[in-house]
Amino acid sequence: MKRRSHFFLYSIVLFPVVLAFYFAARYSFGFLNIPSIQQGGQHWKAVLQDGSFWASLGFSAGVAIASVGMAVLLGAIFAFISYRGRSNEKLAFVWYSAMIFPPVVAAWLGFQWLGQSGWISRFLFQWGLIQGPADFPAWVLGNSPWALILIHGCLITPFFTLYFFDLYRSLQLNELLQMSQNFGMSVAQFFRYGGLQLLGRKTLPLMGLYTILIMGSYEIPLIVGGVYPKMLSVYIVDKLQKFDLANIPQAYVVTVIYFLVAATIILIVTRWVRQFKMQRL
Amino acid sequence: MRRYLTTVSLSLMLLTLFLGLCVSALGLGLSYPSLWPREWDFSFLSEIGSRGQLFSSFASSLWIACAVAIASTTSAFAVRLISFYSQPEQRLQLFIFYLPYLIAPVVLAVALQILFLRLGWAGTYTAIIMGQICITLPYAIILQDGIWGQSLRSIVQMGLNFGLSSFQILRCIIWPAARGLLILSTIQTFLISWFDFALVQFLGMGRVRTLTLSLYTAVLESDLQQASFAAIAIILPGFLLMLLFYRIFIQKATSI
Amino acid sequence: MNHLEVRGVGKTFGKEAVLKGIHFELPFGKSLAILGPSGVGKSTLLKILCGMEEADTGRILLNGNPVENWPIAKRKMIYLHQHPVLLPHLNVAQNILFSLKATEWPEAKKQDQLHYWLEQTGLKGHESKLPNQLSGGQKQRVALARAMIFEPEIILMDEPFHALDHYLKEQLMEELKALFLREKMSSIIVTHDPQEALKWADHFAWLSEEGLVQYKDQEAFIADPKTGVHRQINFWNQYQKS
Repeated sequence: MKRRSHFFLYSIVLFPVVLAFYFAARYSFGFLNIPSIQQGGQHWKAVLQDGSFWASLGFSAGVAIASVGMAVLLGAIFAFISYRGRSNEKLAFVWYSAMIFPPVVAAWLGFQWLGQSGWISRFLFQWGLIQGPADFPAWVLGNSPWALILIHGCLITPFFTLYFFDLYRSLQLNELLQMSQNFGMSVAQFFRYGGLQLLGRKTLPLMGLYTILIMGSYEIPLIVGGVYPKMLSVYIVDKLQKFDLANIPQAYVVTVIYFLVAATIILIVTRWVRQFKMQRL
Repeated sequence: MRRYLTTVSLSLMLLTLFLGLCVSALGLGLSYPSLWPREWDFSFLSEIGSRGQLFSSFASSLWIACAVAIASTTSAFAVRLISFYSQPEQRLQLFIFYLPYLIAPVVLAVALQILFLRLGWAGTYTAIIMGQICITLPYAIILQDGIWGQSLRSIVQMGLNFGLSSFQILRCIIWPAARGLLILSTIQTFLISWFDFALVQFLGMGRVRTLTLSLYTAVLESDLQQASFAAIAIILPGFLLMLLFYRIFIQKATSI
Repeated sequence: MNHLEVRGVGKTFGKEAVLKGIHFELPFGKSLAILGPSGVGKSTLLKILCGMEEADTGRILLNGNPVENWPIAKRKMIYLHQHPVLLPHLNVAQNILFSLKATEWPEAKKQDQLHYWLEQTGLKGHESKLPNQLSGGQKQRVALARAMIFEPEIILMDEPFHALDHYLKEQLMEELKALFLREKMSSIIVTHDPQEALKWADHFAWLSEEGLVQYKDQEAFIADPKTGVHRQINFWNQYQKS
């Protein structure tokens, strides 16, 4: 009974994913029922030898790591500034409200505020700090990652802030700080000698998961991203929608690679979660 | 004092973003470097149905999100109820439940598109709903995990000890314990669907138009007004849901 | 000269006066037990002494020096929380050494002291265990070893034995009392339990909303009906008779 119910539970969740992966894998080897597309491993070779794929992979990973790093740092600081060990419903509500902006709206807001003719550029012009839109950096639709990092980072900072509030409470951070102050340590020393390590162990699995999420981000790079390098999701869609049919299997090659990278990171993260749970961390 | 300042600053920031949207939605003559519109245009409000098909997009988004929310929440509840007494290996379970939720929607959409093309569902509401459920179902299962703890198990055993039937246990023990999280699960899965873009774009194949697609189309057409209106229409329901179910959301964050 | 003298200490939270005109003395190497009903400010008083809270009025004299304006670290009065506050990712040895992070002791001295206090608190052999592998009593010992290795002036204990079962409590109290006597360590313990107070302390005080009363000796403490000792004695006498 136990085994059957496990199987039932897992199959409900995994079936569409496994099926989707099966078709993607098949198509990545050219089994598309399109005569002009050759079947075999040459599509994989083409992708792995394509510099733009590696640029895209590296760019996506870089943006993801920077965004998560920014959000974790800001979230930890915001939570620490406001943390008092007692609840505050108004502050909680405001942070939750900050989470109702979805990626597509965040992208549009990024476009409106960070663009060369956006609100920030207009304010700077009015204050005489720039002479025109061309003087404002081309973050939006340009090739730099800054708009992408800023928008992604701002999007997930509220989540990490709420997460750190909860973490500080469960770790009894107030008591830990008082204890270390009792022994002559400053707040900075407490974090240096033990606090950072403790918070890091707790937060690392979540950081891994959010890195995958942002690597696979689509709406934001689609609306504000540049031409080269593209983030992975946009790269995949580009390959799919181009006129050259030979690009279609390549899109599925990248899809399969992405599946494998994400699955590997999730395996590592679940190992950490289990390891830290055993240590009751 | 610090908390008060944080609350006020954050609220002002969010309000500023929202006001920016309102100004671009209702203002005319916002060419660079103006900070304020030349005049206000409220005619968009009356044209909302025809221009940019915003009203029909809103209705599509609503119908899809409701279907996905109800289907995922009830399925997750049913699935966990069935396996309530089994204790699957934790790490494997964690891995399996996280996998679909974390694989990028566009990657999943691209892969599912093939499947739905073969099934003849591509371009229909069914494809979008089924595709979104692939993401929201494991999410709902993870979210509802808080219901199925040892304490509930003990209370159910107590109920069985007193001779309660399965239906009575479900009605008198499990349902009251699960109600709060089920509402939260419904809201969260509704919002995941409401905010979705990639799955709608690929599985809808241009035949289904939701608010998120309307926003994107407006951006491509450089229609500032429509894009801003669509953005407002996307975020307002989420905010209203939070206000309506304030208690349930705040219970999840009472540590702040 | 007393080790610690408290004169006229008061504390208000908002409009509520939690502590008013607190006076007491603690001689060197002795232990003071403070009892009283819940919510009268016993924990607040300990936190004021070590510097975690600031008194609104009054003086605190440590070795004759006024310390009410001294920072926490300088006072060297170590507060032991009700529940031992250990860093969950550090083992026993690392948790004990944590208190020395801000000191400038050479490594050799730290290790010597570590081994000494592991021995004294009965933790030898448990050095590499993590907090989740320890019992409640062992966690208390770690917190205490961490405090003792710091060479404090006074140890302030806030209901340190309340979470332990009767037998463990008795055992731990005996061991720690012997340790404190050996080391001539002054301590203040806050407790609800008059038995605990009688077993542990040399001096006694009762804190209530009206203020703090320090008894001149054990007999005066036992005789005061507020403390509940007489009630317990009568109960057991009646029980024995029946």
